[in-house]
Amino acid sequence: MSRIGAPREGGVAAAVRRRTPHAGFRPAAWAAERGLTAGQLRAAAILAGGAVGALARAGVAEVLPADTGEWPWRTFIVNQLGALLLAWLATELAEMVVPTRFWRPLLGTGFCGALTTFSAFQVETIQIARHDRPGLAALYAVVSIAVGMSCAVAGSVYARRRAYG
Amino acid sequence: MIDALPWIGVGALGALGALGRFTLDGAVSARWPSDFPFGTLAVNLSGGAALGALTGLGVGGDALLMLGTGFLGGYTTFSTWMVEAQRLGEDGEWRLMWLNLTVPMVAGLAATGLGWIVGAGLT
Repeated sequence: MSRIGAPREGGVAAAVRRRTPHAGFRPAAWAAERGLTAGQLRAAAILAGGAVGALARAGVAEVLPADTGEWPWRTFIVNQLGALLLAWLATELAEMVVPTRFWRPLLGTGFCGALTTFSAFQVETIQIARHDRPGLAALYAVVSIAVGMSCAVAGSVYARRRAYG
Repeated sequence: MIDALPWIGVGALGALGALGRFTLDGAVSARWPSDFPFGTLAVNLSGGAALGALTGLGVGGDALLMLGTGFLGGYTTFSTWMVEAQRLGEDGEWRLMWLNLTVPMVAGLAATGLGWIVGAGLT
């Protein structure tokens, strides 16, 4: 995660005047008033985001049917949406706004991390291959990664377009 | 009405999985500092092996919902993997980018398959 969070090099990012995120609510100040350390606030944010992300993914799985050996849309959709959202968010939070100890752990590490899954992606790929469809299994793997990378690029580009015009 | 207990389990275990991912990623990254995201790889390979084992064991129903979708879904991540690979490309680290796209996939299938075989062997 350290690489994602690192501000991009280059003059453009440095030249942008950083906005203060969500001016009304100051999580760090709120936590400090209640005696929470920065680490505790971060852990709480990850726990909260992780719970909501896992529930969102389980909700999508509840709605979308899954036939073992078929294209797993339930996983594909959450993984791609999560990659798009995390790329946009990580870029916004690292480059456009003042870094905080709250929003990134809550939405990035917590929500996007829990919404998306690597383990189900792997098991599904093996399950498809075991259903005598090695071609579809390979396609699922390659398309997931190719579209995932495209989403990561699109999310980052969108964040910078919006900021730099 | 949907039974609420498994869903509470999904939320609680998903939260713990996410915190576990953050903790292991941080520990691995601190122990082996590198441009290559070994922390995320360690999380994803161990989580893949664990879900492979659950599948091999034939775990299903609410137990799979809570442990697989909840805990291991919260623990492993696709979004971080993709964005880390994209950042490597953005930094001109093309070799590392391609390594980070291929190695986790190949090693992930191997780890998951191994977990599956171990799980199936235990039943």
